[in-house]
Amino acid sequence: MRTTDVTPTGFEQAAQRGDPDAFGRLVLGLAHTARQVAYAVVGNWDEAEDVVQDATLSAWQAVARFDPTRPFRPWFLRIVSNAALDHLRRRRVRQTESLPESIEAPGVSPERWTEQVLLAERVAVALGRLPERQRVAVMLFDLEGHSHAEIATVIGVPEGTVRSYVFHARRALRQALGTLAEEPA
Amino acid sequence: MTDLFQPDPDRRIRQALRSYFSGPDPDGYGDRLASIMGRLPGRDTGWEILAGWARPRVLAAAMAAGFLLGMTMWQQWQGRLSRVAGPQSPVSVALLENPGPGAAIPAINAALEDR
Repeated sequence: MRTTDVTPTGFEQAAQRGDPDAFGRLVLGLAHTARQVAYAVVGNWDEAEDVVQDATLSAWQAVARFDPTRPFRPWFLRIVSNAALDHLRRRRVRQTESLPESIEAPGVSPERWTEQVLLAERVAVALGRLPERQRVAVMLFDLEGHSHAEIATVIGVPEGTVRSYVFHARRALRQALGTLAEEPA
Repeated sequence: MTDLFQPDPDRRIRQALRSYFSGPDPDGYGDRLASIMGRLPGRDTGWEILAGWARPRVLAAAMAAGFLLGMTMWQQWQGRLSRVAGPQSPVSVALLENPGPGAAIPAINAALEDR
């Protein structure tokens, strides 16, 4: 279940009025998705965290302009996405062929570890070849379960474009995963 | 085979993405972000944002307005001077510069003669 689905009504309004506690609760509920969005763009976890922190401060300064009748999640993630794209424009950091840091410490059998490394390499290469917005789109759709309309708001493109992004990203990922045995559910 | 346009997320792709997007130290990251929440800077109000934006422009506009006002007043003063001095000055200057013997005012002459 997504965080906004369980956000009590009223936090958005309180945040919009400048209540730091309400704002903090909303942002912390989106913290991990925000970092994933930033990572999908900048390709580096440390920089992704910096981007989220910068975006959080920007969102706090701009929260008076937030419409509390609309969902907070896409509004905030859009700020994160824009901050990440700005960061990328400035730094042009690309990390297309390195392994994700999360699988550096194996706690499984060598066969399984090899399979995970292969999977991670293929996914990393496939994702690294995608444009940043396609990475964000497929991550939000297939990992976070966002709707196309929500993703359209986050990355600032029409809904049809999001469908196209997800289609192309899925195709690339399926090609990358194609020869690997399907994981058990 | 999964339809690439399917509305539901693809399980294998989700699994791969979860692996790729599982960032390091999620607890530490959450704590660091939470600490930022505890020291959020004062939020600018709309008026402060407007004031910050407007301050240099207001200053420039005030300087321009002052300059224009000064120019207008100077021109008006010059115009008034020329209107006041313009028609009389040739006579006055002529009298002052060339007070010949016949230049005295006849009424004064008559008064002197009466004495």
